[in-house]
Amino acid sequence: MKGLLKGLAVVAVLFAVAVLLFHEKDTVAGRANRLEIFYMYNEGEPQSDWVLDAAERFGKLHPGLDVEVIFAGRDVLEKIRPRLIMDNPPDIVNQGGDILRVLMEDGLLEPLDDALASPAMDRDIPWGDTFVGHLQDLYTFEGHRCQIPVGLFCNVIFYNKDQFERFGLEKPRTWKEFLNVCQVFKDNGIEPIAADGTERGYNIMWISAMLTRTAKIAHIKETALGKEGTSWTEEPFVEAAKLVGELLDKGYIMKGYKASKWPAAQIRWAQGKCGLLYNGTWIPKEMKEKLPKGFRMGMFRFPVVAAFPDADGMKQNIGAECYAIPKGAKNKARAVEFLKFITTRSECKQYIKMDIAPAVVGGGMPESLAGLDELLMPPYGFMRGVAGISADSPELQEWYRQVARDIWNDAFLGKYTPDQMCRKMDEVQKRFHERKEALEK
Amino acid sequence: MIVRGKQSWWKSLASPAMVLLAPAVLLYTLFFVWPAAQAFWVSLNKWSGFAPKMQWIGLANFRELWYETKFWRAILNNFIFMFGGGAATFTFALVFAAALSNRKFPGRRFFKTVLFAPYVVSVVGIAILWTFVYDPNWGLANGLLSGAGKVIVSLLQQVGLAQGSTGAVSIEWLGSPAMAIVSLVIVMVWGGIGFYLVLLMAGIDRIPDDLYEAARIDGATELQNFFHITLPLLKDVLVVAISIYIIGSLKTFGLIWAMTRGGQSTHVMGTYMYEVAFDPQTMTFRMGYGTAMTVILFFLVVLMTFSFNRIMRRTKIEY
Repeated sequence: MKGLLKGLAVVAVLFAVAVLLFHEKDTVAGRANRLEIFYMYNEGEPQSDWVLDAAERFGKLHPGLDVEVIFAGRDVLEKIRPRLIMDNPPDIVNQGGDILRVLMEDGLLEPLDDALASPAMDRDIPWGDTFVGHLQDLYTFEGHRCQIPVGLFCNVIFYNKDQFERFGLEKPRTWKEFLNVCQVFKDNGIEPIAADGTERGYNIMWISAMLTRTAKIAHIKETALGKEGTSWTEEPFVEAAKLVGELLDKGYIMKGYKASKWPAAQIRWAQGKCGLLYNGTWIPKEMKEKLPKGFRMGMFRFPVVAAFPDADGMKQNIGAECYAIPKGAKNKARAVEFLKFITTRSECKQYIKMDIAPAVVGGGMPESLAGLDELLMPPYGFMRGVAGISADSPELQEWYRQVARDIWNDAFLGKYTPDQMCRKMDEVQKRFHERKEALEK
Repeated sequence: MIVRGKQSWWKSLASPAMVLLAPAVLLYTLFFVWPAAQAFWVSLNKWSGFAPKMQWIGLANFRELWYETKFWRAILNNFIFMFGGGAATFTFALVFAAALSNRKFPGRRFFKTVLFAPYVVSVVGIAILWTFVYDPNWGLANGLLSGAGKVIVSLLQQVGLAQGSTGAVSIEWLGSPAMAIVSLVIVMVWGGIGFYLVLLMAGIDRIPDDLYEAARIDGATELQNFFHITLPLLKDVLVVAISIYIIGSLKTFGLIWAMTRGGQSTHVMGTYMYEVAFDPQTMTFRMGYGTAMTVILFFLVVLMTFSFNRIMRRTKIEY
């Protein structure tokens, strides 16, 4: 018995010694020559080759610096969670700007205002001025800019240029013209709109975009927050629901769309069985291997509704792949330099090769997204999140999750008539705000 | 009579059994009891899961859950999967087990392998496979139904009971909440039968042949044998199997996440918890709130399993 106890004691001591000996000394001095990047893509994706090359090119500018890229995948925040909790963050983390917002709100990101005011690496202007339009404003929190946008994504409607030419169609700008395009497709035996109805996010894009074509974003926001006197049964909102409902009533959306699972609809569109695809500008990259040889892709922005000239119809839904430096990063100075480096025009050229639109002025545009740069310039403005509001605050994000998301999704799937949808919004939202108030008390 | 002397507690702690158990207990405490206790603590806080500090809010997360209809819907779905899926799984598994336990059954090993095969496939693989099957335009399910429909109609036409032709069947399997739930239950049953079949067959193999022979001599039919011998004597195995099923169906996550991501009101507690706490698409990152759901799930699993075992173990059957 005593022998057994002694044995266990020896094992415990050996274990403790091993832990002490092999524990990584992750000190400031130990990481001075190391830059650790947690990257949202996986090894094998086109972006992974670019980031490794960029790291190597940056490393050559700083001999002795070890740039380590960790391919964390889309769940990158989960991968850095323990590091953040233990106050041992990596130097750089990258994800969608709306997703990184959570770290901003928790005060876990380093403000980059000073860095953005300093000169850019490849031109004599402040680094902050090198970004497209007012993109930086979308990623500002309490007056501080904490994220660096690198790749841009917009929601646009894709079409097949050959089909448009065959039927003598022009890019529609108004809803009326859009319906006409749909009708021409239908008359020619082609299903007008491809949609994977089991993808809630894609369904919601329709109602969300339409709301911004019939109402002001500020109005949508006030209504969502339950401001007195506002209601979802107001004319602009009912009209938005009706216009989307029109697509369903006229049979413009592909057969069986309600149960279609991604990427079935995209494939049908690529095969020429459907005419239009409302999606994000990641489509050229996503569909590269699936498009038939010689497929000529075109795109246009979600049409405006002529009857609502005061709406925010000129706002373009936008999302950006962003980079941020967590507070407490051991190598902040090098991290800033790296971010400046990857937003130079020469690095943007590498980005373009992956069919991704760079967020940098003068960064160029991939051939597959020709015309997108026009949408990033005045008179068009930007909005982010669903209907321009969801990503504004945790409260609105929760409102979106609990109130709007399922109702808008169901409306696109034909579960509600436009009037029913708007009444349901009021009803569920009322419960949401009442519950919130009760809990706050 | 043997009288055991009273042992002091520290001596019993130092007994060889206790010493041998100690490492396991230590690891269990470290990797299960401690994190579970931490989860209870997290559920009482407002926390994104990223900041080093949490904000104490007491039972507010649980109160919010009480009012949240989507959470109740998720619990209801768990129960639909548990009862609906369970009834179908165990009915099929029992029928197949009874049939395949008969050594004279032709192709016994082949059918056993075929029925067990889905259990070997990863849940994501199954989800992808069934997504294809359920596709409304080119999926196997609608294709088979269309084919069957045509055969039936042509047969009816031959006897003069039908005219014209049938169009293609177009069921939107994942297109509405009710259909999506039914479709998921079908996949769940298909994927789960194999495991329970093997368990039940092992139980049936334990039942002595003498009992069946005696019953046959007394003129019992196969059906009577099943209901009066097989089923009662399988009770112990069934209790274990159903307990495993209850726990599994309450914890279910992978299949639903891979097939619908909780869309069409198909969320169960596991997927809903993940969406609220972790999902980068939902972007709410409410770790405290999500953990409160986990705490409820934990108690629900304990309660259901315990109640079921209590009910089932009231009578003991022996042979």
